Amino acid sequence: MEVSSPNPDAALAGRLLRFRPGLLVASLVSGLLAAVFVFCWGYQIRNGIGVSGINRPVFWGFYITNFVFWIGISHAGTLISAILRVTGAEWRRPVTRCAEAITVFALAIGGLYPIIHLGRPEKLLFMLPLPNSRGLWPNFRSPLIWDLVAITAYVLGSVLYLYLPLIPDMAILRDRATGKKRLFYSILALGWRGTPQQWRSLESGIKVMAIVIIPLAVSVHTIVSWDFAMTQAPMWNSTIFGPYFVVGAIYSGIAMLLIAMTLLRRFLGLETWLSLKVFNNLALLFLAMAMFWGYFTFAEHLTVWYANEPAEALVFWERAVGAFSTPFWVMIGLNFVIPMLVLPFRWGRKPLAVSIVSIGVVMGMWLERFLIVVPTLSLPRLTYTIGQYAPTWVELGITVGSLGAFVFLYLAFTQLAPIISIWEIREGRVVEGLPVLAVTSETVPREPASEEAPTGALVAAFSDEEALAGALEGLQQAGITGDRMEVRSSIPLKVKVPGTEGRSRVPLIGMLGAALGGSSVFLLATLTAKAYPLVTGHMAIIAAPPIGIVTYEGIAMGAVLSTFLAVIFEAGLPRRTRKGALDRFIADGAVVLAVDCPDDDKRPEVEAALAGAMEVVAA
Amino acid sequence: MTRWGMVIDTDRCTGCEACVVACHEENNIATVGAEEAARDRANHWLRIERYYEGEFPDVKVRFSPVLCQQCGEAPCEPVCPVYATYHTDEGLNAMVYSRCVGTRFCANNCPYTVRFFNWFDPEWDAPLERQLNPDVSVRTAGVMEKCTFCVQRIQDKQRGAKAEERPLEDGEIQPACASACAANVITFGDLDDPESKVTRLAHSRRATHLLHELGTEPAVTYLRGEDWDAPAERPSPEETGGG
Amino acid sequence: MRRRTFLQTSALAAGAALLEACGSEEIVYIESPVARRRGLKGVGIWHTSSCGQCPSGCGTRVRVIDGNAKKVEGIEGHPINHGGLCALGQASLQGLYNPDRITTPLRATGERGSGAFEEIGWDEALEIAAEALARAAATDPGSAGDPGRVGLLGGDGGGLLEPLLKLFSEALGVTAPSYLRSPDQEVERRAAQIALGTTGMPAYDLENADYVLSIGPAFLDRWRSPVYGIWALSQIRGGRRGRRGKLVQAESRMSQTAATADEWLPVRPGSEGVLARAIAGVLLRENLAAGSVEAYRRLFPEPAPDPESAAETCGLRAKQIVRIARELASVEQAVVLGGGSAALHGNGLFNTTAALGLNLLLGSLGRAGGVFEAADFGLAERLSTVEETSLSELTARLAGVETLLILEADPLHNLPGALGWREALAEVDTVIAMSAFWDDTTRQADLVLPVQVDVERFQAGEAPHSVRPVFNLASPVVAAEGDSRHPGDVLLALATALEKTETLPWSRFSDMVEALVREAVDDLPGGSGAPFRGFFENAQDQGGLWANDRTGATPPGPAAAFDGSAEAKSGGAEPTDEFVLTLYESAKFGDGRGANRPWLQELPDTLSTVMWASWGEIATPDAEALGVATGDLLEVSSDFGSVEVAAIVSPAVRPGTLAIPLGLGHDDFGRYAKGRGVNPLDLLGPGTVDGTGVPNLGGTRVRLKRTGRARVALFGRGLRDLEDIPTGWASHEVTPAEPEDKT
Repeated sequence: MEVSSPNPDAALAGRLLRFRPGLLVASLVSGLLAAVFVFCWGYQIRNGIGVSGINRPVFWGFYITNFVFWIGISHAGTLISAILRVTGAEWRRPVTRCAEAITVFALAIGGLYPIIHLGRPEKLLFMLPLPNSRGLWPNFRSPLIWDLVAITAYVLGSVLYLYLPLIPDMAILRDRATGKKRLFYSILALGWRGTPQQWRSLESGIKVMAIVIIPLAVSVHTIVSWDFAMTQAPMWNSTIFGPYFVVGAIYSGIAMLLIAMTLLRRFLGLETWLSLKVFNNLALLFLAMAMFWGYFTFAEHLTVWYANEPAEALVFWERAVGAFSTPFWVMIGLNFVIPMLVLPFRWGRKPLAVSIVSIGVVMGMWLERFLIVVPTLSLPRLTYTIGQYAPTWVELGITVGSLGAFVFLYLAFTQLAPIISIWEIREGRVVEGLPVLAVTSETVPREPASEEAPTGALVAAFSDEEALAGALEGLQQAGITGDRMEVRSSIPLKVKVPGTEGRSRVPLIGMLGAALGGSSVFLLATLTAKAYPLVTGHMAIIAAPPIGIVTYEGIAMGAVLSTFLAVIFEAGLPRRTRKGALDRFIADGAVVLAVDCPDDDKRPEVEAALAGAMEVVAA
Repeated sequence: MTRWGMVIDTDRCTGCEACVVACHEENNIATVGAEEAARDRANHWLRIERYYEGEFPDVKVRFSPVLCQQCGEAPCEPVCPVYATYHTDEGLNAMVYSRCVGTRFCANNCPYTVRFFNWFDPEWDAPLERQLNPDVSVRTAGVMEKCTFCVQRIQDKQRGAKAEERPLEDGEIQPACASACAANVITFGDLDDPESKVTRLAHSRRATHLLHELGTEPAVTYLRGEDWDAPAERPSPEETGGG
Repeated sequence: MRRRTFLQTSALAAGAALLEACGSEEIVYIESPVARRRGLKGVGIWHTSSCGQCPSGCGTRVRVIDGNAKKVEGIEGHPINHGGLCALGQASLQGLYNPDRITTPLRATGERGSGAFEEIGWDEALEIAAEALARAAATDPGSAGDPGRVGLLGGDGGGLLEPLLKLFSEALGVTAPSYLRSPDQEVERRAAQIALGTTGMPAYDLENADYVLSIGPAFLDRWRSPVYGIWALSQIRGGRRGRRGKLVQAESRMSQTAATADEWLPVRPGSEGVLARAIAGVLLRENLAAGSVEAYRRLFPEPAPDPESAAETCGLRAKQIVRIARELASVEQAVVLGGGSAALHGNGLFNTTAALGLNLLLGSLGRAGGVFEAADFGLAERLSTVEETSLSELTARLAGVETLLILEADPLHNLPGALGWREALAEVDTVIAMSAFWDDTTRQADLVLPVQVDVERFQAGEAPHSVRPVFNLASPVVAAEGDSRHPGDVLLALATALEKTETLPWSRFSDMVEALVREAVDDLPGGSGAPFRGFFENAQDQGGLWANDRTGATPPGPAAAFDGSAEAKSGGAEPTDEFVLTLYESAKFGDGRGANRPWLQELPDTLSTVMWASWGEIATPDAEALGVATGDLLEVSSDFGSVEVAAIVSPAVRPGTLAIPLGLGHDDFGRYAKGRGVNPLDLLGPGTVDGTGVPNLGGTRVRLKRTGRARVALFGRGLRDLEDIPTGWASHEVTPAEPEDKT
């Protein structure tokens, strides 16, 4: 018990939100780019999609490239953190939050691109199943509708999956903060108290979501790949595209994550948490994905080259040695050659090296998307209509600007919420048997005792679980039952607290929600089509496989939504925030036990039981 | 049932492109101007593809008029998220302009690249707009368009026949391109009528389909190679009645 | 003699006409049997009319809704176009509704050519014009030979306006008018005179030919009526049971005709005549001539060149020449066309004569699928038999002209700058231009008289190159734009103002035509005995009158030997740093008249697929040597000028040649044509075709330089099909599914 030794974790919360001038510059630059993004898009809306460089036959250009690119990036967080959580990898703890944040903001940007691409944003409404009198209804055969459903589900899932583990941290910040800040965090904390029951619901909720998110994320990028693979355009119609895109997505996602981590480490001084070990592990995963990507790219092109079907060969050769050879070989270099030369070595997995490689990979993956979209379109089967494509300043502005917007949002997030999960780090220390608390009663300022506390209640703060365990024993002998005490902590506890037995119902509700979501989307896709038939010539009104796809997404959507609601409900949130006497102790990692003992005859025993506390206050 | 179809005899096509202008004239296809044309945004629902074969001096040229093939299994249809392009009961790929949201997915999935997009609102310098055909709607920016087999002419003749309580005659309906062609390259009619000229020609031994291997079941049949067939198989000049 | 009587009778008719027509457009309407059938609101009616875009005289139908013309199509069964129409004809409505039409009479105010004009009324305009003409006509011609001070220039699309203009010149007692036609026609006419002994133009019965050897004429692109050519080709190929004719195109450039032909002989420019002679040589040597050897020897006494040497000169294979000759002899009905690009070299007259001469050996004179004299009803001769003045004569005396009346012609754009028209025009006191559009010449005019376009006019004219007589007759189908008038009416109004009503007694062109038809009624099909009014109106309703059988006279054959040089010119030998320039009328622009139509500007040229620009076709090896790629802008310079065109690299161009289409590069032809592209005529010298005054458009030497810039609007970039189908490919069979499967 080296309580004396400086414990970094106590400082973590404070350090995360401390403002630094470097950040100001970064925010200004990225904010400016974001403004460019807004201006260019506005210009396009005003003057029409024609201001872009897309043409006939290259009907898709930068916008779709960016769409695929950002959706790919979004696979950084949620998927990685989910995998790590499910596999219980300890080193995940400092990584998850900044990864999940990437997901959410990358999705925010990526999700915009299809709308930008339409040219007339308002027309997005035509794709939603809104009852109308214009003979409009979504065609569930269209991969674009699958996109719409999948990405909606993914956004929902990612946001909730980011928010759920954020709640206890919000509570910690709330209890440390005062004034406006306190109000802000109180709202986001939903009145979280940190009782064992709440912790139980939260943890099972996180587990369920982690499990649901993995297949969801995989399905999302598979569906994005199907925007291409479902056509019979040369080198688009490929069965390998699903996994190819998913691997590429994770690959680019990890790259983006590594870049973010390096910057955070540098700017926020998080060397302790974003340790070399973490980088090393992530870089190894990165290396694995690089190999996967290389394998898929090779397989994809080998089959085309070998089969030598004229239309496909045309596209292949244009990529390999023709008009697109430069971007193609640059892509190979950035995505495969360089990582293979750097990542296998220990020095190559140090922050600086790995982040440089990552920057290359992010650019390389953008090129990959571009090389998938444009060459095929510019080389149609009827060679008479061979086309060419060059982006206009509008497309460039939107492309670069959106990157700025992403960085800006991310920076803002780092200033509002802990980019490293405080409670999970603490939990990690507990696992490693290190002390969590680093303060003594002197360092903690007194809060005025809460008026709501039951008369004659005693509130005690314990340095750690063992101390609490002792107290609980004593209370038991004193015959104090569970319903007369409340335990609160900033991390989930192992110790059995009387009156908190039983299992969480969250998984069950999650499953029910999945069933509900799936069936409602299925019915939407089938019944409405039947009840509201459109002329489709010889095409059947209902096509089974596509409906399976949207139903699948419906299941995921239902699962994440119901799981979240279940957690909230089971944890009795949201509720008014009650000031407690020793809230600040909790914020700093202590465990607080409140005992209600009105009758004076038991009081001495209780006080005896609480003897191990570092602080006891009477209400 | 009716299934509208077309037969194009490439042996007779001289690439004069009268059909292309006729198509513009009939269907209110806007010209986009030099700048936009240079950006590959010119719209020609019907085009004459020319391919060179062999080397000088024994080089040959093959003309092939390409328009929407009105596929029976149209790749453009399923990918549209809003049913803006769909299949009519008479076998046409119809476009509902007011539904189109402009994803341009249909164009990407069209192996014949015969779909065209309105990048800007069309413009006609006054008084050119006085020529516009009131039977055909003009398309605004952000909307996909393509050959319709001159559906307005089809419907006009059908109404006429109905009013006179008589069946449509074969060859009565002539799309603008067909009636513009002096060489009778283009024959239009009902593929479900075994006696129609178009059906007889579609069964010619010279019949081929564009990108047949894709299984799109085009409603347009191309007669390739030299024509030694009996006139019986083809419309004689006086047979091909004008619209 | 005949004419005199006609004039007297018509003078009476004219009196009535005068009373009838009191100048208001409405009355013209009531007179018009077609326009009288007004449709219900919003209902389309097809009115018959006649296409005035080129002189060939195709019959058209125009769909009119609420007084607006919507669509033009060919008249089914019309002997010229057989229901078809060319791109230029289809686009005529963008001429009618062209935003840059001239709709009121204008008088130049500022400096000539400054483009400063003021609107004036017709009365004032006619006054000025009449005054100017009178003054110039009155100027005393110094000597007897002096052609006088009045110049009259007509266009090529006039129909009966041509003889009216002649009659006008008679009335004024001035030199007969000249007409601005595509230059090869004059050469062809002369050549036909020499080789076939015809007086008018030769006409071909193409649709019945089994074998067509076209030496020069791109008759499917823009030569006479391409629509007739295209229809005829469809008859040659599979129009007749089990019988398929062959088309061989001998032309230095790969035109659409060459592209369509069964075989293309890429003969060296200027050596077409030698090719024809060599073929004749084979026929003679192998006694394959079905026709009159004697007649041919009369034309070309000296022995023909042998295939080997000829092949050398023409850049062909000797075996090829021999084979073609044998094929020609092996079929029943072969015919040889001459003229077109072959006629426009220095030795054009020889090239064309030699080509036409082959018909003597093939015995295709006056035979089905052969060559005839163009047939007509002789209506033009009834009006005026004056010999027109050749354009070269007018050019020569332009300096002495005080008043020049230009009727729908644009010499400044269509004649090589080297002929000095621009400079000469500056010296002419008064230039009166009758035109519907601003063009290079109209800009330079002192007085601009707006005229109606084809569908607005009362049209009457005979098809000039038909084996069966065709008289197109059509009344207006839409109201005239603005204050424009019928050019014929304007001429007649001028005559009235000049008090020449004794020769030109009519107040309206339509009256003149009616009187003329009344006079000739017995010679017209279905005319004799029929009540005239009904006959006349039916004629207009069906778009004209024509005989269904060939009446073209059989050419008598040559009277004397061809006395010119029989050498190849300008050969365009092996690729040097200099290229041989070939100028041609593109199918869409013609001589440039199509350039003000957005439809045609944006219409991809079939072979180059260029839109909205001028281009130069260059052979792949030459391009590689120069390091030029398609789209690169080339500076093309000759000794006389230089232009800039986008390079089109093509595997179908004879190395050493560069082909540039005519028709672009207008000073002014409305917003769509103004300053767009280049006018390659600027590259030409003052040279003429030997034995004629016709400018020589062929064989100019040019040098190419890369400008380093590149930009061109292409519609199709790919040159070869993926399935690289071999030449003369075999069709593969598909059995379409049964109907029920397809529903």
